Amino acid sequence: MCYFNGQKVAREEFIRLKHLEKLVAKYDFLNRDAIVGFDFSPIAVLKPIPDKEDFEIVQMEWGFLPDALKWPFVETRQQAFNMRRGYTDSRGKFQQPLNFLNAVSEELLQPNKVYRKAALDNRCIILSTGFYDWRHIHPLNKRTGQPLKTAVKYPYRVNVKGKEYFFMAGIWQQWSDAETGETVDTCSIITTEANLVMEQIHNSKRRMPTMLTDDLAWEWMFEKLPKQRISEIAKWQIPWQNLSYYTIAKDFLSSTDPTKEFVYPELPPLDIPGQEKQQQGQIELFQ
Amino acid sequence: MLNQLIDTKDQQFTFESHGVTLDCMRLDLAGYVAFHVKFSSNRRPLTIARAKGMNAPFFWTSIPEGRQKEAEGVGKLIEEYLLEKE
Repeated sequence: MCYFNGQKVAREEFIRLKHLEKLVAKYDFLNRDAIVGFDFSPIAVLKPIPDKEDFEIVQMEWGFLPDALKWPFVETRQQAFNMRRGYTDSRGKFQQPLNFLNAVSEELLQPNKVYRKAALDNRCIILSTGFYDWRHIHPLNKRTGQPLKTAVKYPYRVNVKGKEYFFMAGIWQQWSDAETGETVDTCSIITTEANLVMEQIHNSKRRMPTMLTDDLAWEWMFEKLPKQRISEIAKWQIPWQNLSYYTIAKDFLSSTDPTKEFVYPELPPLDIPGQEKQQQGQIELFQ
Repeated sequence: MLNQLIDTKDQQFTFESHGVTLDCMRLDLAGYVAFHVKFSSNRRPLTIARAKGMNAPFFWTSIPEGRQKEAEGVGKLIEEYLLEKE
């Protein structure tokens, strides 16, 4: 339990009000329905205040930039840009992009892993009102009846049932540009193995963000945790029954309302055991 | 009914109370509703929102913290205005 303006409120409400404080203060801050990871743009993050059971709501650059003294030794903005987009090195060899948008929970604490120190010392919570993933469907070749190589991609919006927003486990790292002195907090969202719903939606990778309950989010941010517990929380799977989801337009990112439902008549519903097959395009499968 | 009025009513409205004009703007911020209120008197503008309390279903509060009493008073006036107008 917490206090806001001297009134007793639940933790969740406290966080909501703190969030609102920031929104009001900066008005155009955070009020975005769709953020594209590959833009490396700012996202809303709960960042613990050292030695206090309190946090501030800040913007961080989504796309972890490791300490410049560690691999991949990113010292300047130009190097960060090159690393994220991929580039041709001095030997003429193309270096694949490294975006560090997501941190794989199972590898988080492995020795020499780029995220290890942040997972031990700099844990945060990323606020979300919903995220997007693409379901890949391979149409059948009309002649052979075999699935085509190229999939048709259907975007879904996923959120937590009954929540205006929810918490994703994250880690952050302050990074400084050696040329300009610019300092920025950067972050990465932890991912875990997909649950029953997400393995069908994000069926190309079968991963999902680690979405935490209020209590787990609190523990993740504020507790001094042993490695095993960090790993357990990072790998935590939200029960599939807690997720709601629906399909959205393929051009949702350029839409004025990217959250608007769009029904694809040809798209089969997800296969949920114990549930009767839902009508195609129905929003809630778990009511 | 009040919830609905607060969530859907006009973006901007003005009313008078105790000789002071309250100029209210509804703010929709990522699914949250708050009111930014400007006063014709010398009172500083105030932003308020409804919050869920542990001991009461809802209460008005200032955003940011620090002006709770004013928030409760102004919130009540907005409620009365919206209900009366309806």
